[in-house]
Amino acid sequence: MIRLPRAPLPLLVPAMLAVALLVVPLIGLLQRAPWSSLGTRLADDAVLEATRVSLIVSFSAAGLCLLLGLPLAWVLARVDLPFPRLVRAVVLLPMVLPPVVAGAALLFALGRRGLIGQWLDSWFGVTLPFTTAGTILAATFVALPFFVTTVESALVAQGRDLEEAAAVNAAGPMTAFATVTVPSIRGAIGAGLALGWARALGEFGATITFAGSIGGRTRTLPLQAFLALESDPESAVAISVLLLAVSLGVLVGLRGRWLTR
Amino acid sequence: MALTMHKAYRIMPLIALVWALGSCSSDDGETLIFAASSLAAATDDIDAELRAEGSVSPPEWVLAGSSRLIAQVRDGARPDIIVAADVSRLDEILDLGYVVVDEPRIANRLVLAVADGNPARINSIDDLSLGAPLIGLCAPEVPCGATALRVAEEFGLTLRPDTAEPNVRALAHKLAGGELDAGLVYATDAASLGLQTINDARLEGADGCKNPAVTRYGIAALASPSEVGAPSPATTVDRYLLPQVLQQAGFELGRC
Amino acid sequence: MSPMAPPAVGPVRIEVRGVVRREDFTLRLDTAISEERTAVIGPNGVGKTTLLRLIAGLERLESGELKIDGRVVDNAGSVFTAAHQRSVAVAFQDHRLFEHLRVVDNVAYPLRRAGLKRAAARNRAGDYLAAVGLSEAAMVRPAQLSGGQRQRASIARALATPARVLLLDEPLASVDDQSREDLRDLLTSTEHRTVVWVTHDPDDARYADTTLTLTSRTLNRASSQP
Repeated sequence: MIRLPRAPLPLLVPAMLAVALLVVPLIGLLQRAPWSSLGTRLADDAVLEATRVSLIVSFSAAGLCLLLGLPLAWVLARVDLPFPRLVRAVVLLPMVLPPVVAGAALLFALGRRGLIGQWLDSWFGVTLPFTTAGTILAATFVALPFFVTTVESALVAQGRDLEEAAAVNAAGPMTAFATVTVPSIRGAIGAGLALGWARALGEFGATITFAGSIGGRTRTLPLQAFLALESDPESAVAISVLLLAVSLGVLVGLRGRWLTR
Repeated sequence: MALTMHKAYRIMPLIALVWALGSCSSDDGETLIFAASSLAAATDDIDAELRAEGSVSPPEWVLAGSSRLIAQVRDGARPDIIVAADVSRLDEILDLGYVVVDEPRIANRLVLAVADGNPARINSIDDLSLGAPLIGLCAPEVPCGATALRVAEEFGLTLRPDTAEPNVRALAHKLAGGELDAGLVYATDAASLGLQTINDARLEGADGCKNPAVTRYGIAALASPSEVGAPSPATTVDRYLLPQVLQQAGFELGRC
Repeated sequence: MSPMAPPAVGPVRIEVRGVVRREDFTLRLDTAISEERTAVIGPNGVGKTTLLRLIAGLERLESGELKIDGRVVDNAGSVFTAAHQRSVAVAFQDHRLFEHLRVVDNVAYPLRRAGLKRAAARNRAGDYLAAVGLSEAAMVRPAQLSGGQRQRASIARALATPARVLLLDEPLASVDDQSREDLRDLLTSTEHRTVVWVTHDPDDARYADTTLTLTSRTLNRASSQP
């Protein structure tokens, strides 16, 4: 005997519709997948190379989110900034900006003839477009807001109480941050990392526009899938299945390790 | 700085293109034309010319990679005309009610384009083998990239691209923005974006289709128009693919 | 009883004269705390907690001056000694235990900040836990404690600091009667420390050397116990 979940119908029905909306396209993808040749398609050198680039890029971007985004989230949550709404909107902007526009914006800023890029190029000989570093930057740009908003809302919810408690126990601001603030929001940090990482893994538009597409350097799995659509659509589906599997694996793994005590 | 910002706008059509891909709705009586991305160089001018003539209203254009266009037709889209950058791909839709139309004979040619002022001092296609300058090509999966490979094979070049772009417009815009030093793009894209080009006799041979840098477009149209008294496929094509406008945009006509 | 007794000197003198402004009230202060044990009483919302926060360095004076042990720590302007540098410990009314740490590590926290190694700090923290009767809960997380146990843990943490000023906000509010007696004994047996506690309970005030009464948002004068 199956016991139906005890939930009011007006909540249950839309909830099931939402699940359907999310799951049906995935099923569509899976039923189109070339299962019999999946192994050989994914063992293709170009796909393996793209997988390597994707893993390097997405984890580096997640690392940069932690390194830059954690302090940013703290500043947003704790410091009285001028124009706080404007600052928050700017931080959120990459979430709503079409990724292709984001890539163009990155080019105008950091490209060889860009606002800052021209000085990077002429002073240090550093050119970011068409490099793995550029790909990581593009991925970080789009992933950062996901991490920052997740962590910031946890910090706001937590309030200053614990930091005050640390202060009256002789912990300076940095010590309090490291020993009290960060450990007590580690669930939110894990969730933010998972979101940012997933966004970085799926990133396409900003990458293709800013970093171009070359195997082993800037061509991530989504780019490889896009390219495969031109010549071998089944291969594109196979890559999408791989992307799904990798992200599902990492997200489920993270949930087990990070998001619960 | 003002110069850089001015160039910024050059990438905007690329964005518009990407959006257009997502919005190929069913038309309401308008003629629908699926065309290879490289046709973008001429669509505005054709629209303007048609408006000036007043005989037919401008068509609705859907521009994308030829493979994608063919795939969409196979999935049920029914454009009145298809212009593919690869003649052989048309075979895949002949069973869906399309016939190949032979006129006009439109071809395009790869040219060696460089960033404004040629900062990397590119002299010929041999310089595409150098490691130092930033070189861009189309991905081999798309026609302009396949053509570039043919050129490399014919002239014994080892290409070392820093990026293999998914379409020629993206590549041309990166050259226009100065992000790349050199690349092989279609003459039409070089013309419409005002790219500086370097003459290389090997690409310019007037030997029509035999030159590996030249590709011919394939045109197909719906064989049996739905309405009574509708024009024949050849007439429909003739109405919209205006030869003189295409020629002005840098396409080569009738030579191939 | 203090395992880490501060040097044997007299009580720390706290002098405050000035104004603190909060969103909902203004507190005018003009007093000195100079006894070892001072109880602060007064009606709800009068600013008792704010007074403790001011001394601890969690609030700033709008005008006036605050001196601890003769040193100006806040002059409503250029001078402001941050909370972590004031050597003032607080047991908050809402406990504020670090939920990610075991109870013993909560109490060891100030000892670690004072430079003790982890094992030594835990060892000494155990003594303070024993003093508040919480030895059996040393290795659990604060979430598993009852309200009274949480309060005792937070008092143990304050006692574990080397601070010579202990500020306790309603320290005996949520403990049972037996614990209350024990804690009163504990608080009255601290040596060489100035202990200030906020309370509602006249019984608790009786254990103090002096009582400070806050009325109508203006504090003043300490009255000596009979």
